[in-house]
Amino acid sequence: MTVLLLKGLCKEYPLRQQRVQALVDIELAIAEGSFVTIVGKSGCGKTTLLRIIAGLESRSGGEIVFTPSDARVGMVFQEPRLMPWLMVEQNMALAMPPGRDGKGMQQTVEHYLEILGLTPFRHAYPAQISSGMAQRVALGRALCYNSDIILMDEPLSALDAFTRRTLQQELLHIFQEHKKTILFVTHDVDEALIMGQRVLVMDRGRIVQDYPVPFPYPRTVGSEPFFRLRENVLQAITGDANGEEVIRDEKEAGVGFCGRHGGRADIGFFD
Amino acid sequence: MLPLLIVAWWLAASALQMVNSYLVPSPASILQTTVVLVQKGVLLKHLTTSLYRIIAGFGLTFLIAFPLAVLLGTNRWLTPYVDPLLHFIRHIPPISCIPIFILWLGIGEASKLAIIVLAAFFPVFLNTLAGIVTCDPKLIEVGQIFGLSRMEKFRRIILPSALPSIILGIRLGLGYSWRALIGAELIAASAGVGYMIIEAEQLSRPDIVIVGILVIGSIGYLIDHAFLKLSHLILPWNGEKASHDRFTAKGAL
Repeated sequence: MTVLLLKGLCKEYPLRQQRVQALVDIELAIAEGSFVTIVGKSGCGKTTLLRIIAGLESRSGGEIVFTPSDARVGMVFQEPRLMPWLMVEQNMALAMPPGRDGKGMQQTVEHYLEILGLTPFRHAYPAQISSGMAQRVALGRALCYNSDIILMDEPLSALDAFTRRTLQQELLHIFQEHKKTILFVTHDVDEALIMGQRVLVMDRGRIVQDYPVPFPYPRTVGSEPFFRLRENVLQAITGDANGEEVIRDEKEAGVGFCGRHGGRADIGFFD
Repeated sequence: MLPLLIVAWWLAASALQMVNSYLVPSPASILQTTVVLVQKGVLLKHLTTSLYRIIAGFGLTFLIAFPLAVLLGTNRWLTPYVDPLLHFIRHIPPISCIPIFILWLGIGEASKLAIIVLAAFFPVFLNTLAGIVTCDPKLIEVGQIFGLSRMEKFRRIILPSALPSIILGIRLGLGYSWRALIGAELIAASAGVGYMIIEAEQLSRPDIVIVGILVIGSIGYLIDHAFLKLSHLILPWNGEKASHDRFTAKGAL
């Protein structure tokens, strides 16, 4: 089942005398229980896309369809954005105001505290925990919300390599255990390929490539097919590849090619 | 350490008769006067009168300043309409209004309460407003993402975020109230610590004047200290920051 469908999504905003197109005709379907990653250069529109889906920004055109229509959309930001005056467990329960989710609130919080290894820190304030721990709390908050889809905007980019690796594994474990639908933005191609079942490449406001990642979890970056797919994604990001080369590489790697959304020649950043 | 040095100097100066004992009574005579004033109930009577005025006046201030700050902080479009008037009033020293308040409100309690309101309004109002408008928009976005209503966002995010600033405003406001009240009692009152001082001056009793000054300083310090302790209890996440905010607060100058 498709939990999120974007039809011709556009975003433009004025900049001096010109209109900047941040998103151009985005067509995208996200299946329930899938882990989709979006990669692209800085300023390509990844975060804008997520913020529009989350309802934090308005769109200039197109349509966003959630199934069900009242789907809960959780979000994890690049920075944890925890409430400094709330303890860890209270921060996680913030998304569940009393009366809305009723009795199960405490049980849900305890469940995710346990899963994320936060139980010993449940009474700590954000200022008293590490940045990795804080990002875990932010993830726990989105999970407690019982989101139908979780949007993640470079949630691990500010962490050190070791913490990042650990959290990647924990996130994948949660994804596999709880069958959450996750849309994960990153600028790290390895991370996108390790985490995602599908990798979308964005460039100048468009989704220009859509790669399925057929490797089973847990993934390692050392295998030859992984390496080739990684090269393809990198070429798509930097704009060095043409369609034929990409398809040839995909066949050699045994990875299915899903298609190309829009040519590069007609991409206009400014109107 | 510094207060001890001052007292030591005072004791030495009195013992060595370096100062006129009429103008600067010795610490021993000050202590004796204090005991007499306490025993007769004079000090307690004036002190309770002043404290009652502070509680009533500051309570009234808070009831006016806090809702107004919330209203303006959450409805920024109102600011241009109210801002010029507020900035005009902010620059008026409360003491300068005492004559007109006496004319309008008489010499009774109302004029004292009005002075306290004028003195404490801006620290409370400006700090509450600053706390509300400077709430991190990223935190408000979190509330938006997780479906909090406008009221929930205010109650669960904006208000707690503004709390350190609000409490700082209350601390400053209480200090300003105390100072303005004593000024008002010096000019027009029949009871209160300020009245006790001016009456002593007219009776040529510098020892009582000094007792009054020491009481004013001590009570002001105690109120501030108690509130600082209370703020650490209310804001456990805020650590020691609150104690350093005194000189950077809105309306502190």
